[in-house]
Amino acid sequence: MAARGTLLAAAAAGALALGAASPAAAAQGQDEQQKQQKTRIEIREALPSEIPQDAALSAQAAGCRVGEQVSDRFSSCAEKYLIVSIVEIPSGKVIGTALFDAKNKTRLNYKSATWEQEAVLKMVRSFGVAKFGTMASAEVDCKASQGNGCTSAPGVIGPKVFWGIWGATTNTYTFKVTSPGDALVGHAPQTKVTVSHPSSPEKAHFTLGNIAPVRCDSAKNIGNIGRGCVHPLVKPVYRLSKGDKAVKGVAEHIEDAQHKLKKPWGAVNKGYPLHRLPNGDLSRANRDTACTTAVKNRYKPKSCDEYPFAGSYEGAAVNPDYSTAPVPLSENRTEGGFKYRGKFIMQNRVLDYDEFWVEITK
Amino acid sequence: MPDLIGAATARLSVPEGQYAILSPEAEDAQDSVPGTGEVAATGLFAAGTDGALVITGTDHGDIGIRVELWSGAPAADDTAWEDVVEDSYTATGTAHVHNVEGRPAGLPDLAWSGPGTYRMRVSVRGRDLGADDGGSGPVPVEEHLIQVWPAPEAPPHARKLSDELGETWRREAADG
Repeated sequence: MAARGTLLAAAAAGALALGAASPAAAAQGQDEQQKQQKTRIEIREALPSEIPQDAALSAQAAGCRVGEQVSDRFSSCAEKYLIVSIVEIPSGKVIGTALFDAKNKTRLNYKSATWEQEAVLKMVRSFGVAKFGTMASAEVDCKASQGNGCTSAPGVIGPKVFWGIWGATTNTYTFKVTSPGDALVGHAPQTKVTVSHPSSPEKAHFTLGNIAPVRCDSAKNIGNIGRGCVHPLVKPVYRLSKGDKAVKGVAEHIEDAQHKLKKPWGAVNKGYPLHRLPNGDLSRANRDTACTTAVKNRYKPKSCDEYPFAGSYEGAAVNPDYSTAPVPLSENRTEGGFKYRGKFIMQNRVLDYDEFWVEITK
Repeated sequence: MPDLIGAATARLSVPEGQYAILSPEAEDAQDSVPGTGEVAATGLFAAGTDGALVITGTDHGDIGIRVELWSGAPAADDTAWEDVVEDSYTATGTAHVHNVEGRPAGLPDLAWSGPGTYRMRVSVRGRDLGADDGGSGPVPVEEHLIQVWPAPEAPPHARKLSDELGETWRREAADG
């Protein structure tokens, strides 16, 4: 209890020091002002050696990884450890430090121009005056965006206080970020954190970088579902199961084609993703090249299935390394239809020339 | 005699050999489209609430499509068509023809008298030709006529089934 009382007193002294710097205190003598200790707050990324091992491990369990960007097509997390120091000027003496675990997350929606962007700041450890009254606010910086940029609501959240006396404390800053207009645009929305302390008249800023780029579009040929956003650098995976009776023959053909063709077209992470080709002259040419009248007649009463898909830039008209096989007509239609590939394209916003993988499962 | 309220004709691209009637303003509109399994009984057409699915023979080209909006059941001329199937469609909003990519056909709202239950008669010819031809010619070889009128819910009715494509589909379903 005695220790806590002392630290509280130190924080109060810091607050008084801030008060002394105000115009009301200008009448105080020069000597006395020099005696008043000024402080400065600083923030920087923690060195790997400064990150507690147990903290890094628990963070991994939560789906984020320190120093890395973890992303799927609709969510991402970038995690960093930050060190806040409160330094006495001009002595340079550190009178408080705090270690923050900072997570910067996105949650996108394939049928909305608004996504959720969230900064989660956890003060893991704190020492000295940093234990009391360390605060942080956050805002989304849309400057690194194309087109009309993006807008966030609210503009700024905080400052929120972190209390080190009760162990680790966490504050969450959740924004709704919107991509205006109809155009296809890329966003690189950063979350900027501003830390402050009552003892320091200045604030310190840190940008939680490393966020996965966001792409928003209003494409009509993915199901006419209006505007929505994805993380475009993550290639979506189209999965078909051989155990699904409705598409069994198609799934088996694709698996066979991925093995027997010169290149494993579409096979996940094998280096040859497919690129989506919307319906048009080229997709027709792909279809007609692979499934000629002769081939169709040979396969009757089954239908002609081709892989890579006619709806890909790897189709037969431009790529001689393709496969055809007779599959039941209903399976062929089902696979390409509203509940299967059509849905995949819609829900992942797979635009013209977007890359995707094709995975056949049991 | 029922009245013809309106009619329109369009050329519709049918990637993946199918198109739907759905309510584009509805949340998750595509989820209401019947699955391909639901057209197995006729090999042509099935409808439900805010969704219908029509199977074409043409699988990466265009078909010719005409819609007719009627005040009541129009006279049927099944002799002019290869396959004719009727089913009930309940609209909670609008009902528009869309292909699998979501591109509208530029046809009017089929739920012309507002939300409610309609009878839809889908008449087709040239599906087998379309399946062979690919539908890339100047004039589509495959033609569809959709006639719509307000009517109480009734079971699906296959007025005429004769083309090879439909027969293949039905046989595959029967063979399971």
